[in-house]
Amino acid sequence: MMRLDRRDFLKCTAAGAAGLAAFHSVFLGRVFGAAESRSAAAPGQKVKRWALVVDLQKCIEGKAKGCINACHQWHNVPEWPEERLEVKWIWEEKFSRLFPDQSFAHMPEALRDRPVLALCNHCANPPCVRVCPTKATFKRPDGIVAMDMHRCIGCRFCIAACPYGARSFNWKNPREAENLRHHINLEYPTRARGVVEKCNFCAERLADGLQPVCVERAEDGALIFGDLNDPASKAAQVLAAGFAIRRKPSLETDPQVYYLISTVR
Amino acid sequence: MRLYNGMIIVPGLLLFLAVVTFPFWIGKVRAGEIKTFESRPAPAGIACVLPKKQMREQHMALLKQWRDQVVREGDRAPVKLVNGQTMELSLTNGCMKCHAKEDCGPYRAHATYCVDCHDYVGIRVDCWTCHIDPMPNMMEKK
Repeated sequence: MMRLDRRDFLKCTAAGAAGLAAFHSVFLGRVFGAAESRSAAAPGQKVKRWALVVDLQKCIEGKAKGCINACHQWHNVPEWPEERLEVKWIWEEKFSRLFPDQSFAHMPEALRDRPVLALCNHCANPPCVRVCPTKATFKRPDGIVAMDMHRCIGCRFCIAACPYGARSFNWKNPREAENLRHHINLEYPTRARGVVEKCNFCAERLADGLQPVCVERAEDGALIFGDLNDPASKAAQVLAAGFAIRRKPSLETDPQVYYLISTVR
Repeated sequence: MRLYNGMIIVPGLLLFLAVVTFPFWIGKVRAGEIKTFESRPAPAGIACVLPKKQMREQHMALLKQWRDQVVREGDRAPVKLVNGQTMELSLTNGCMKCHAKEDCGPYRAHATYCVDCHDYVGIRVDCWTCHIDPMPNMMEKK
């Protein structure tokens, strides 16, 4: 039998590895490439980047409640009397707590304590997606950070990772909540006990060409929703003509919910 | 060759064989007692996505494929039925639009159309913990 010396063995190994690498890039590369292109936008259609602009001049206390209720009713969000069980998609929070970096001792008290609408920021660089061990939460090509409830194992890493408190855990079966026992929206599923949930930018309504529930419910254009990749969209125009802030931008999550302070003339 | 203690060994072996082959012959013995599954009538005059036989065999794979298509790829393009009509890709607002109709039989429990058969074959599906079963009383509550 032929004896391989060390030098020939190494040569053969190198040739084999090169061959495998070539096979992988040519054959498998094509397979995975095909899978990826399936989820991208159709040819001729530009990729969207959905974003929401909250006009702080118009979205004032009292009015936001309507948006919150409309959203929670549409998405069958359970209401629990105990705060520790709370599930929320969109909610109100003091300005100083949403924008700790923009708050200081001498600012108007009315502004500091003013309730401001908050929801999932659908970050361009979402930490929740990075930590999810099952890829139950993922970023869609149009920028929506979506949840696949079928895959959520309830580990709550995403809750810990989200710097905006936008995620809630279902400690109890949501269908046992008082509000869902009386009224359920057949257009949208409920969730099960043991999964995390959050705002989905109304992905199911966008697919039908509708606006998100909160935007539809908002009065005199307090909430503006649109595609920031389209310069003609209302949201892009409002941002281009005004001064807006975002929550905790220093964390570099690149939030896509903008808070419009004023319009530059 | 002599078999010692044959009086114990032979009946013991027979008993052992009877016990081991129990699953094979019990079905034959009790054939008359076991009910065969009677499927609910299909909703009258409505076509499904695939012919009946294929739906029976492949609906689980189809549902999973649609689930991934809608949830992960955001592709909600309606699916074509056998008769050329289209259906929304949704369990509650697609499939159940037909399969929860009265002519599928009387309601006994959640999503009777699915549960009947799954109960018979001993499969537990957890679709209905989240997806809404459009039971008549649920409809009224809306």
